[in-house]
Amino acid sequence: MRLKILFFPIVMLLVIYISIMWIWPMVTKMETVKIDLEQKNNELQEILKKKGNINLLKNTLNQNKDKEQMVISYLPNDKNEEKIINNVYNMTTSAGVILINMSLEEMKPSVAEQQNSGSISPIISSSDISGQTDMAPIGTKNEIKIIKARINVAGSYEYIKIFLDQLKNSGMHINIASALISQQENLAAKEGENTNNLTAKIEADFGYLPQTKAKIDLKSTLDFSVVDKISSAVAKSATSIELDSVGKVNPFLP
Amino acid sequence: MANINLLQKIPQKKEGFEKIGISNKGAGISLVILFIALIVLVILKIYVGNLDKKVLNVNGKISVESLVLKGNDADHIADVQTRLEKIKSNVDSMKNPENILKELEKNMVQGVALKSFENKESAVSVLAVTNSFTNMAKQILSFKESKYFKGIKVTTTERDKEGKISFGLDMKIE
Repeated sequence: MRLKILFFPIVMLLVIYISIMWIWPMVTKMETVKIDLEQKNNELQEILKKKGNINLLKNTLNQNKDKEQMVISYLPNDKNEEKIINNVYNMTTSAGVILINMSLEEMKPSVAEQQNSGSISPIISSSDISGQTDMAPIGTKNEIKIIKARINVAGSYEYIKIFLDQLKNSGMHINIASALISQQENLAAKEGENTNNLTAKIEADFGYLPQTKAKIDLKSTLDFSVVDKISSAVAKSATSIELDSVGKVNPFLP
Repeated sequence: MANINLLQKIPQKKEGFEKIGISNKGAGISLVILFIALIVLVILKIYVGNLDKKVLNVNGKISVESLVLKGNDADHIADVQTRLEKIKSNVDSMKNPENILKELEKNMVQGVALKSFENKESAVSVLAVTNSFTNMAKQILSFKESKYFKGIKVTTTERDKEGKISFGLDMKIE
């Protein structure tokens, strides 16, 4: 009879024990898994949306092959030194200035720039391994590389201005970093202040952007509006270098 | 004789039956509660197990679909988009020393000639020569009154053997 009286509290204690030790952790886990599932579903929807977007953009790109070529021509994925040299020379001839000298130097990115551009960090991040897609920049190398051209030209003030204008509209990714225009010292001394013979030392940064497998957040459209602005300049700069006769028996002969 | 103690014993029996009934009911209720608790536990286990399976399933789908996003097409599109953005930024922010020269032309005073002009980013330095300090002062004032040039500073002033005055100016452009 007494055992029967104790049975109720013992069972209740057992129920409390089961609730605390198993049911409550299970409820907590359920909530966590629910949230996780919701997040994963959202992520999946986002990816599916992006996948659909990629197909749309792919079609747009296929319809604008010529514009894509202009983009590549303006901002190539390789150094293209030969194009820089050829175009600068053609521009000096066209502007009527004398090209005294030109040197090209590839600018090395500083450590800070490397870190900012992510080129030091690995391209595959832990999120890739886990199968999650973080479409934010992962080890992106989307920084423009610079070929610095130091150009020395001589000519009249008007022609130097024309040359600067042509350089700006060279149909290449360019930033005129500095320009020093001065009177030619020997001529100035001889002819006095009326001389119009000037020299210009110009530092121009030509950019190129290596093609990488960097992941960026894809936008829903391809904005080709800028191509219209650069198209005429790109068309002008597209003069290719022709190799007339190649091959020589004695490479040391002129 | 017929009435002795019969009424007194019946209530005692009822009490005993009631005690047995309460304890039996208590045991029954407690067993039901235990049973319910166990049922809840089993249901939760099955439900959480199902949720885990769903998460695994979605993870699998994400991995598969991510491969498409990491494919060549996505890289190609991303590459073109990046180039377009960089080109737009270059075109919009393009500086041209020719424009600065045009502004200089507008603000040059008669009797002052430039010996050199230097432009680096937003800094402009000129070295000019003139015959008189009045012209030099006029030139400085002309630049100061210009909306294009800011922060005009005289860096050097020198009279040469021929009596001409060379002076340098540092300026900023917006």
